[in-house]
Amino acid sequence: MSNELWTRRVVLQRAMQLGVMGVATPLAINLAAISEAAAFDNTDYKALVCLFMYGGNDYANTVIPYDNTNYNLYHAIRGGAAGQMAGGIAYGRAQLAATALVPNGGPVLTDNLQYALAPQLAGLKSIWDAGRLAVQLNVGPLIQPTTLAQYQSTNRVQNPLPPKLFSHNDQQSVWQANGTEGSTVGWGGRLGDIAMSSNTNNSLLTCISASGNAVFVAGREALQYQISPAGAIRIAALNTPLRDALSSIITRQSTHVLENEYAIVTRRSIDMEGVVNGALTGVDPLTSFVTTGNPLSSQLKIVARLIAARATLGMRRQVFFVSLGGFDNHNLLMQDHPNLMTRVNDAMSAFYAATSTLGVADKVTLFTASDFGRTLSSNADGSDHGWGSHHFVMGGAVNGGRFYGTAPHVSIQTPDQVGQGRLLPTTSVDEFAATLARWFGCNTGELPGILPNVANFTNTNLGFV
Amino acid sequence: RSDDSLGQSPLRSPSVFNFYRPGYVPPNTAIATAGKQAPEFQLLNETTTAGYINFMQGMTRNGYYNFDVNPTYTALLLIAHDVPAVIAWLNLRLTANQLSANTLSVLQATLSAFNVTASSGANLKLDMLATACFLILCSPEYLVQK
Repeated sequence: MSNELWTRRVVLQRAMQLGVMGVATPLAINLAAISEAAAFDNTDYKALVCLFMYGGNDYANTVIPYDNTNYNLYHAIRGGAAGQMAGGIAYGRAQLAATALVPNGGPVLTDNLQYALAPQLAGLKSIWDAGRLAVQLNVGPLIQPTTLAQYQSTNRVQNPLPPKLFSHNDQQSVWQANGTEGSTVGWGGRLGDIAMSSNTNNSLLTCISASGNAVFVAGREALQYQISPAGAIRIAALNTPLRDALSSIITRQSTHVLENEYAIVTRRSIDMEGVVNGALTGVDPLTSFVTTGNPLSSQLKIVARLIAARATLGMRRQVFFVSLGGFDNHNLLMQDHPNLMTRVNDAMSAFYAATSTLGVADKVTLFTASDFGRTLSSNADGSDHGWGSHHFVMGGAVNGGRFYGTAPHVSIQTPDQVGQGRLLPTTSVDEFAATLARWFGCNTGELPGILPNVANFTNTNLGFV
Repeated sequence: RSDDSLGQSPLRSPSVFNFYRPGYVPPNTAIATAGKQAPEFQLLNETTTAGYINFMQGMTRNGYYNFDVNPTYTALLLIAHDVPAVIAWLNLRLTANQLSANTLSVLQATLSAFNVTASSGANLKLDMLATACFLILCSPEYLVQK
């Protein structure tokens, strides 16, 4: 299915292709083709949503070995109690029955693995059953496909690794922006750069964070617009007689670069508040999208409402960023991780339901990401920093209900892990991102400009969407 | 709440890294182009800039939700009738005399319009003093320490 971006670039390509047909081609056909390409088509909308789990989500208690053989391996490594009961940082097998995953297709997994989702992910299980949630196994940052021997090699020229592995802030940046902390261009922002010209009215709203500042949604030209769960925030004093005095002070340009950049953000906030809140006033309030006590739900709800406002705002391609923190479960994993999973489950499920209500389920694809996975083995009551992890892709266009990638052995000794069950990724973030970029509308030639190392990988369409 | 809060509540940072990273470079800025870092900019966005201004509007006049933390303006009340003196007092203490000519002129005009005299009521004086503080606290000339 061709989902090309209807940008000026494509229009010009099309015009040139028509031109080579020769002077006999009626001008009317050319014009019709061009107008079809350039016209705003309300049905041709796509939104990519990144759900970032800050801290490094524990993959082993998210997508959990369930068949007897592999469950027992998981249970042994994670300190379960006798009789397949919960213990240490292992779930009891009976706890996983309700969320056991039956794939509707896809390859036989390593060691005939069957998986269950964490018990709190019942909503995601339903979406899996409906074929709209996919699980990408063992994905993580790589510069090139890497074996254990290459990882252990000292020749970093021949066997390059991503910089500063196992470091929170750097891996967050590597996942989002292909570089360590201080990177300023994220691949979501690069998608925004390409998509901006499609958003003729408010290209400033191409890349949006409903969370804190995130380099993921900063491009070279596309910049992050940040919004709160309550919508854009109006500066109250600008509606009083103090308006002119205040405005001149908070928006004036300065020769001091920090002062000037501060004022630029304030100007943008003021300029967009009326536009954004005005557009939000007219859309479905989504009252059934409960957000109480769940900051991730609050973020996804405003994302859903912004998507609902896409026609008013004149948007055709958007990239969103939401996040949840607290995943660095070195301690109290069995106390804290279930609460995190509940929040992720409730927020993702409600978001999917909202996109269905709004009639845009197949136009919105959400994927999860995290600094890294964690160790399979236990440190007593938690797990430690890892690398590869399992992630979700959800949406009406997703080829879900099955697994993608290579399942890792349930082991702390096999060559697909780098010690303590920290996974050596078998799918790269580049391949994962390229698949999403293609769905978004990018072609093969555009991928290297989004993902600098993508040429090192052969499979740039994993097929989950 | 985003609409009138600072997003920097003590002991409530979102991660073990506190509120901002020392290596943060704000994307799409002249700071990034110059290859510099600006850690505090990790907190600055369209929501926080507006939330801060709304917070200061209430704080300068009524304190923190009328709780115990209240500005009393004790010293300023004594000179509230003297707009240049009030501006000079605040300029020194809040910005080490670094307010620009433009900002000083806006302050002079705005504060003079209150027409505060020595015999004016306390409320009028407090309104004027709170406005003076509010405008300065919202200025990037105050927010960026030089």
